[in-house]
Amino acid sequence: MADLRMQAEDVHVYYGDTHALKGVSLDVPNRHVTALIGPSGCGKSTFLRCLNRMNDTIEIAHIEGSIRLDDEDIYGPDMDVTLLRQRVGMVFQKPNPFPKSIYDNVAYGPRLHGMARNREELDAIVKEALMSAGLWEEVYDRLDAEALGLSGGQQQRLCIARAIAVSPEVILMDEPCSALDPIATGVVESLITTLAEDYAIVIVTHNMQQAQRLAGTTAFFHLGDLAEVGTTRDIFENPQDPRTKDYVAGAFG
Amino acid sequence: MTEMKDAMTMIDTPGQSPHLSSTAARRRAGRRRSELLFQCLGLLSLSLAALFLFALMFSVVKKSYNGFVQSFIQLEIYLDPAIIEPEDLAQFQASVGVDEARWAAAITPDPKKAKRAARSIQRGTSYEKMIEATLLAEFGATFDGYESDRARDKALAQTAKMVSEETRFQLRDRLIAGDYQLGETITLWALASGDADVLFKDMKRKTRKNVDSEAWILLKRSVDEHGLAVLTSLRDSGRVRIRPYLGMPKLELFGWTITDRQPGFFGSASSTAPERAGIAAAAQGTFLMLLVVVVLSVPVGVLAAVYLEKFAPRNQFTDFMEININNLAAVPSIIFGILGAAVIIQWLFPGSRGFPIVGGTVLSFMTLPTVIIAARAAIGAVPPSYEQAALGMGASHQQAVFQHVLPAALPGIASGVIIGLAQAAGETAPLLMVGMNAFIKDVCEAGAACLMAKGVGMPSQIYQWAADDDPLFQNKTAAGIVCLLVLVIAMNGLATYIRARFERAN
Repeated sequence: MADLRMQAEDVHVYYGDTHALKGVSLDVPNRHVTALIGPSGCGKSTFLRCLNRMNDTIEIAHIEGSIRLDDEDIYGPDMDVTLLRQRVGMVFQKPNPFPKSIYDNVAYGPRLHGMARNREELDAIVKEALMSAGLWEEVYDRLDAEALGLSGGQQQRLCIARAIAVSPEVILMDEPCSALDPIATGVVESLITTLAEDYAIVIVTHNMQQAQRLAGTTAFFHLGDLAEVGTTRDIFENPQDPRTKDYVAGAFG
Repeated sequence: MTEMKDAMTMIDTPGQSPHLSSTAARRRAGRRRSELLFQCLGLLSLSLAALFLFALMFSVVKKSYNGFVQSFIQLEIYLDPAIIEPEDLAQFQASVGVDEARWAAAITPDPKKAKRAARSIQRGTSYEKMIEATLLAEFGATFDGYESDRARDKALAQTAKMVSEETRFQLRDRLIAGDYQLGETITLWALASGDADVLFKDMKRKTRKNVDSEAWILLKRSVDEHGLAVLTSLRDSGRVRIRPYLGMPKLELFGWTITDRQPGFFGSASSTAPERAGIAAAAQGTFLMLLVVVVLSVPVGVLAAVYLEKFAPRNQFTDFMEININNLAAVPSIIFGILGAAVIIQWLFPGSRGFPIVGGTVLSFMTLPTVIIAARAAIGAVPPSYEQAALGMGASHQQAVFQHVLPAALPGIASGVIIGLAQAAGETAPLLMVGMNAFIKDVCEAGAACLMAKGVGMPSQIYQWAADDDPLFQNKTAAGIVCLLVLVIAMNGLATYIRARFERAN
């Protein structure tokens, strides 16, 4: 646990006049799943999007505080956003493969960052990413097929393969299973567990059972505050904060 | 909710459900009535619109028919060696392509005679004489009874003019090319002149000779009763046919000739003789202008749309630009014409009046707002997830937009561009303002240089013809309108098709 990948300190986010995140400090350990839970609008997705500066694309968003990736301030003047996003990959709520072939989807990142010198290297990267995402067996014979022809669960695993193809250090997942059926969810969850052996994973979820199944650490957000953070077992079995207690007991949210 | 409250306050008998009261029943009946009335009104207005459209289309298409078909007269013409001397012709043929003066000086000892000979081959009068001789041989009796030979010759010449000059030029070209030999008698279907054509079509329609008809009155401008008798007898002996006169424009692509020019409605440029007037030069002008529009307004419009939609900061300046672009789309097209006339022709490039490149530039100004608005809508309709995914992978903003958003928006942009082009193709007022309504009697064959030669567009050609009260020009007007309509409908159809495919793909 001493091996920390990212450290957020006193992060405030404003959307115009709205104070969306009120001083959040959270550590992201390496080779570990950190779950962010909380009711809708509590700021968990906002915090997640701060970690790879996706909030930059929202014009009215304004961020204060510091987030460090391996002791480097990601909001610092020397940080290249495209490099940051290469190191901190993201998987979105709705599977969003590009309207291209399966191969081109996975190869997009490596091509973008010039990670392969020739076709053989690129093929190897694509194969490895698809294998890591547990998709290789299902698609190896139709890599040129349209990605949009895959099922929802396959599409989401393709998005995960696309994210890990650029060898990130951290993978952010914004409710990755909310658009999937229970069986596809099960497959993606076991994939996340496997990926946690190599990557630092931060996952936002609405599903408290999912957090319990996947995460070693759980952070509970409430109305822009980080109400409580601790081991998943503590959060669900022995919550200290009354708001956490009510939430995990199903009193609201 | 309010209805239920109203009904509850008016219960007929205590304990009865308010929905069953007579008041509620009356309200329901009233609602049904008003719904029925609204449907009837809607249907009525729809059928009225359809009726107007149908009436318009029907009258135009009906009128256009006589613009596409033309009368032909069967003639046996003796290529009289007394009119054109075989020796002259042989020398002329030997020097085709060499200019007249040099030929005259080099080949024949007597330059004056040579010049005269060349002229007799090249000009229509020689062939007119042959046609006159043909008519005189056959209808000599009809031309008896003139007090002088002079008066008779005049009447004969006028009657011969009922054969279009197109036939004279055709005779000349084929004689020079060696298809015909001097001294032989050829039988050909000669294009009738506009006045004769109107008469023949009128006779066909009425099946009886209506001496007071418009066509007769018109014809009396050019021939007397003897001439009329000749035309009538030609017609009665089955030697007049009305058949399509479509022709073919000369199409070349990178030096390859796809089709050769054939005279006819699609193969000829405009002419003062209505029977020879065709749409080819105007179609060429419109094509060149649309080319300019594509080259100018597509890159500018699409890049402006991309910038405004994806990169521009939201501030008062971009708001101002946005309002202006939307307003520009509603500016009357003649204003753009005035802009072109004042800025391009009078100020920047004097002497460029009537050039398709100028007309196209003006049409580009007019099309630009349409393209920008359509492209912005198409870009805005691309699911944001594509861009998000690319950004999440570490693509720069520009990469995300140009690699993912723009390709996905292309079909929408293409359909917007085609709609804009169709709009530009039908625009008349700006063309009139920049002088694109010149009288063009030959189709330009200089390739790209035609962009910088006086030209005419289809709408302004139609406008020119419409201003002529000759019935055949009126028919050509309708035929031109049909061509323009077909072009515009085809372009809009293509845009609709692209959009439909795009929507299915998403």
